[in-house]
Amino acid sequence: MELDGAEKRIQALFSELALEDRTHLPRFEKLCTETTNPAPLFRRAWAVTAAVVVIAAASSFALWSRQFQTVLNIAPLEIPAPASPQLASIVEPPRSQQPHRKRTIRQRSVLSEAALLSRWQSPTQNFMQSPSSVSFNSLPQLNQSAKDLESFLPKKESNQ
Amino acid sequence: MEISKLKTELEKLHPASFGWALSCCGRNRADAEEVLQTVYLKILQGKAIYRGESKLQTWLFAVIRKTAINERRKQWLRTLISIPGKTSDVHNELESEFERSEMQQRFQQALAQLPARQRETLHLVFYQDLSLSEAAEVMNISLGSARRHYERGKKHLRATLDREGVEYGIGWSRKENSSAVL
Repeated sequence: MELDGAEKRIQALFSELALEDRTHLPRFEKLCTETTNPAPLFRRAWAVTAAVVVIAAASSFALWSRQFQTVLNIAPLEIPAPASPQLASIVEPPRSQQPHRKRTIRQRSVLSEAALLSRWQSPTQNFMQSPSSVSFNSLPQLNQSAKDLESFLPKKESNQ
Repeated sequence: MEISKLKTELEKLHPASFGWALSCCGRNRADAEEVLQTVYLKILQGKAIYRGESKLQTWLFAVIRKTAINERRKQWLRTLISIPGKTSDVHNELESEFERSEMQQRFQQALAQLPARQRETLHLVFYQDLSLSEAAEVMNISLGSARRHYERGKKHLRATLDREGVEYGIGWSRKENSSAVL
């Protein structure tokens, strides 16, 4: 296909542009050898940013987990000492009762678990208590209040 | 293809590749060099593999174009996080602007005004002497689209040049690209 005048003109301008580009052409070896150089600024900046984000995330996680542990330790569980003499006798069996030793140990663990469970308190128990809880939990004394009412009410006139 | 042979081929195509990289990077020389360097790295490290399905030049130009688009995206991110740019390059660009002939400047301004696809098609056809089908392959578009971009780009450029009063270039000595339009 033949090029018309305008196309020739455009091609001439592109040819001139190509000639100009040739004058600024970087050496091929330079570009090939520089490929082994360290990463450019932008990549390094990204690497630094990523590292900072990872460190921040790790430290915040560590802080959070520590706080979580302290929350869990609000009501530490303690193994109670045997309260009754019966329990004590179970806890410290005589050496002569060797066949019952295993069973005794199991019973002791069961008892200690039961004691723990009976002493357990919810960590949010304090939130349930209020100053007005006394009046809610007690019954009013009806006779007494009736007498009080009588004293306050006007006396009935017997004639009417 | 072996690495040594590939390197020789790349060296042969180096001037054309640089011209194409310049076009993809909005005539910014520093960016074009960076893109070309990244492309060579990709090829020599085996990240971009030439499978011989098309001409080496077509494949290489497609890799350059894709890399340039990625670099442009990165540059946009760079401006977002405001990493300081290269001031010396700006100075160099200004110097080269001064050296350039007035006619060439007008021509490049007219080129810059064109939409990217039209500019790329014209560059591949007129600068790189590629056929329209090869240009379409580089740009990953259909032949019909490439032809449309070519015609529209030519029309726009002609109108702009006529308006600006740009005459024939002094370096008009190349062979005509008779196989441009298939």
